[in-house]
Amino acid sequence: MRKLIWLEWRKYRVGRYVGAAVVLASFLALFVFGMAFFGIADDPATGVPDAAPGMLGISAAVEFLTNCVSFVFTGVLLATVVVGAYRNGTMALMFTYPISRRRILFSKLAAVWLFQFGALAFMKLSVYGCLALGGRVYGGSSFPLDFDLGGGAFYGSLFLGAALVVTVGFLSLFAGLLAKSSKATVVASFVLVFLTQGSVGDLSLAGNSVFFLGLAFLAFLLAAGSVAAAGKRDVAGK
Amino acid sequence: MAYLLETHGLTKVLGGRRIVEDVSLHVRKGEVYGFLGPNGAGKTTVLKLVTGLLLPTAGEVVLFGEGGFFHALKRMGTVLEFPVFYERLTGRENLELHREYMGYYRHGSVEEALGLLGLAEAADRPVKCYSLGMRERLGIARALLHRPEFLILDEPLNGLDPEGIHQVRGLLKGLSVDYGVTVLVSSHILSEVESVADTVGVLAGGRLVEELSMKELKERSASFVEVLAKDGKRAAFVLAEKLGLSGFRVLEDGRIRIYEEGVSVEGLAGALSEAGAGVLSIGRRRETLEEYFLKLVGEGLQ
Repeated sequence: MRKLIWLEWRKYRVGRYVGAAVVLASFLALFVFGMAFFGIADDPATGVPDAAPGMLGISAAVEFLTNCVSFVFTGVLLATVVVGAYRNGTMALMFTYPISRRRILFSKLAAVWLFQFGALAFMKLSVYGCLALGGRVYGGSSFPLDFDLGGGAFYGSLFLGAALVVTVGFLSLFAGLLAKSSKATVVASFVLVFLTQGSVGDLSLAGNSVFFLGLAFLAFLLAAGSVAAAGKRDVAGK
Repeated sequence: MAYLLETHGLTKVLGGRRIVEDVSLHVRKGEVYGFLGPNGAGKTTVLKLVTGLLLPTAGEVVLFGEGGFFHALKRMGTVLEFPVFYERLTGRENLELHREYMGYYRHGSVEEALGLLGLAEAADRPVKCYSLGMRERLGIARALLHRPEFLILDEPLNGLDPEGIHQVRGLLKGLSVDYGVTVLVSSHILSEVESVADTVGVLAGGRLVEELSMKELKERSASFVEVLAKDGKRAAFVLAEKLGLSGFRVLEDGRIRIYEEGVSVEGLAGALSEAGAGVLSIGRRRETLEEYFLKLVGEGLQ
């Protein structure tokens, strides 16, 4: 399985995506750093941070931004590696190899999940790291630096959160497969952003962990179902 | 008889439509099998059923004397429809990937396959820059890379220039004769496979209308007397009314073909000249294989 995952990364030139993740992480770090230490989110009239309700600490902004980016990034990767493979016929090619279809599909999903998990964890750690460094250099911050890089709970929550976000991001795959469209996968990833991170007036599901866990469970079930059914369906060519 | 591939009553229904029905193929070990049929006859569907990409509605596929595809796939090389590749990767990288997936690590196999299909120079260019003919050749190179015992090629001569067609035909025959590779090659043009096939199966309207050796096919193509007369209508009248013949056909260009046995060329020439039809040419001819193939297809569709 490790070899199959590695081959997926090799086929889609994973280096390009690593580069993109590093660039995104840098932008996010710069942006959040500016919010915290250069007052770019402060209201010019009052000099007080103009934060959305519930985003009082800097960690809320970090989580919001990294999760949004991750949903879209996951959608783009899934559109290329899975939906695109069905659309351009390379999935049919893969199914002519003496490897079980379940293993092939599982390796594709695992390749995206592992990469995305790594990329999201890296993004979060980079941003938090920059903020911690800024806190030492500048002392004060516009937003409270409500995280502790030295605590084990921080890392546990960061990795668990990243795993859940990436898993929920897989819901966009099934929308794409249903619509047989790579674009639909990416559009669905934006819908996920609005659904899990956005708000309409005071109504928001952003902090609703039951809802989020439910979505993650649904994504897991759909992924398992797709893998299990892989050998029982016709495969269309290009 | 050792068959490398047998299908028994293979049937596929897609969207309520019977795409192929009751197809029973018999491909012998070591032969080149020409799988013929017009566009839309269901050839690709049958080949997809044979390779397991489609699941049969009824019937079964027996490869290498066993049911089930999994182990057979390692011994097969396939090019179905338009060969697909990872476009951003080079030709060489695509073949290296194939080698990894097939678990075939013989040193130099990639270079050998590229060289065999004349792609050595283009090997390090991304596939997205390849022409249609180069893609076809790269597809064949990929199918051959792991030295399969059974090669399935779906319309492999599409997009090839005359030189490429000649090269691939020679390659197919060579693989069969020199290396004992069994080749199943589909085409909608008989002449494309006529010179290399040992056996042909003709598919029309989703049904296998004939499966016979090339020798039998050549024997079966009928002989006839062909007449070209100045006054074609009068000539046809003479044949039907005066000579009482019914087994003839007037072609669009005015030539008349008489299929009835026992008709003498001299007798016909005399009768037509006497009636003033003005015989320009007359002689005994044999139906070309292409014509016989088209006749079979026509009968199958009816």
